[in-house]
Amino acid sequence: MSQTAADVGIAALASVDLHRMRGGFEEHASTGLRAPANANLTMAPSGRLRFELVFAQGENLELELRGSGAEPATLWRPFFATIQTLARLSPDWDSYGAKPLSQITVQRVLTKLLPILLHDGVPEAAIVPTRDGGLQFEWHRRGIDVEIRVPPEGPIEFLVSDPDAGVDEEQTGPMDEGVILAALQRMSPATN
Amino acid sequence: MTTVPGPADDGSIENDVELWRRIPPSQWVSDDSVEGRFRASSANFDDDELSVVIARECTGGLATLLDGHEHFGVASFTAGEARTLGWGVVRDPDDLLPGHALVLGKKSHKKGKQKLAKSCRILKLPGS
Repeated sequence: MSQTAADVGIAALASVDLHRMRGGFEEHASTGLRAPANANLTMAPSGRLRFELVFAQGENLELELRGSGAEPATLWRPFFATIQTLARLSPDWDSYGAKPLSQITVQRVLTKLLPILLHDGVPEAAIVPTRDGGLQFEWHRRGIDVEIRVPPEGPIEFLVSDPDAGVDEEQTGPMDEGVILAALQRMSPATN
Repeated sequence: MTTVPGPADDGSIENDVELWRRIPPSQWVSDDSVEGRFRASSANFDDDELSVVIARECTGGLATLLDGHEHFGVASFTAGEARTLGWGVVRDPDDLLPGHALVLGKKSHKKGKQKLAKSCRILKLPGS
């Protein structure tokens, strides 16, 4: 049975507001499992797009993106298309007994991480599944490394190494969004 | 003062012994600081009992390691590299891979995993 975000008690997560996220992703090959362009991820002229994430263990999560209709698809499509692909990974997808991607992980990403991922000037992340059903977001460019790991439960972990800025930080728990965003924006080719 | 013992370690596996690990296609990332600008993600090295195979004991080579997982890539590192990160290496043979081994130790710190991910050699890219 299909679940809406409201069904699982996360009504606020059902919608992703693109109005405040005007930046564009830079296209680059970031992962080995690049999601194909998905015909289902096309925004209507009204600026709304509803789609369903289907998980390997039968869970569904319905999402709605809201925007003006003028936002470039490069802003949001790579992210959601990759999540769609990773949601379908079967148990033992790594051959070492990994769990499939958890719906709860995706919900945590949408609440806690999406403002960073879709922020102006933030390059597209490599999105990597983790063996516990979580997701890891990675950027490694221009001598800067940023990793954010979101497990299905427990604290979020992040690492920021930006030697030129004197930042070398690894933490578990609340994220210092300012430090992360500063490092990510310094990676952008627009920062010269 | 109590000394916390380190993970088990088999000293008969010398530091220069090469270890291979299968890497699924979804766990590769671009990194402009490494040769080829493409490497295994640190997320590959999360397991406190990390499964590897001793290269010289893997009869049939990569084909044996990748049997049934031909679209995976393979990364290589030495037992010594694992030990410098505070981990141990022990044998864990099985019928299919007599040279199977485990890299033991807590993998909770991201820096150690990332260091290994950046330094390990790529023997085969996924899908190649």
